[in-house]
Amino acid sequence: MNPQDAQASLNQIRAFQDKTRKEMIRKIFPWSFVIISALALFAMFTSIDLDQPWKSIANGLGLAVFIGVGLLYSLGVSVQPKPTLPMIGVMIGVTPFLFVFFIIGRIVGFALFGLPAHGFLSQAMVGGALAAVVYIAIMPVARRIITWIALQANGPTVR
Amino acid sequence: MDPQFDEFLHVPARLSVVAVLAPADWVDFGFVRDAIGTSDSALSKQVSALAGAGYVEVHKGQDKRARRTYVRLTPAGRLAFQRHAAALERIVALSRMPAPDGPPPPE
Repeated sequence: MNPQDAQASLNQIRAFQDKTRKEMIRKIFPWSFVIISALALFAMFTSIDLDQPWKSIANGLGLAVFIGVGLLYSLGVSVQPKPTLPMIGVMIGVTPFLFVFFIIGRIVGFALFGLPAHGFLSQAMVGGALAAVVYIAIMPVARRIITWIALQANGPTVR
Repeated sequence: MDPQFDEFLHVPARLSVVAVLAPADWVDFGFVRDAIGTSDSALSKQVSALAGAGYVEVHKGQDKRARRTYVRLTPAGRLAFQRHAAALERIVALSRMPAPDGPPPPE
């Protein structure tokens, strides 16, 4: 093995790794996934103020769609990133963040529009809508963070 | 030769497969095929050889409508690849160092 051959092999390795990384980044949180999961979140949050059996139906449906679209997305990609603790941390960290906006939305729904705490047109609907909008709005940032983590964590970087 | 240089892995077709797999977890067989520009049968042969060596594992999807095959590096395969890449880098780095009995650097 001479140095020229070694360098050529390293160049080839780098080129192939870049192809995989580009594909992995291209498929992180596509907009179709974000929009459908935001609608599912809206259904779950809004269901809180509904009466039974609509409360259970809307909540179950929202949860099923949220999990289903997540599974379809992860099974459908050609290149699956290695799940790492920081990556899981970002995904879990979004939940309390959204819940804060749900509560803010409830307060806004009551204070500005005088909405009740039950029924479809309720404080939970405003809270759910705000949480869903915030979820869509933070996705570009979340995508950048996950991309950065994926690039830091995956595979040896060949110089 | 560097002790971490892996002759088995250095076969270009195998090294290409491992390089494509290295940055990810499970990778679709079709993506690997297209990325390295080979045929199904040629890739299948290399994947079988790598699996036999314990460097990769293969998972076949259950969905009969769109049966997909996924491949990923095992921890042993990942370690072998890291060591091999490091060995290649050392070979390149050594060639850039001045020879001990060579002419002194200009002042």
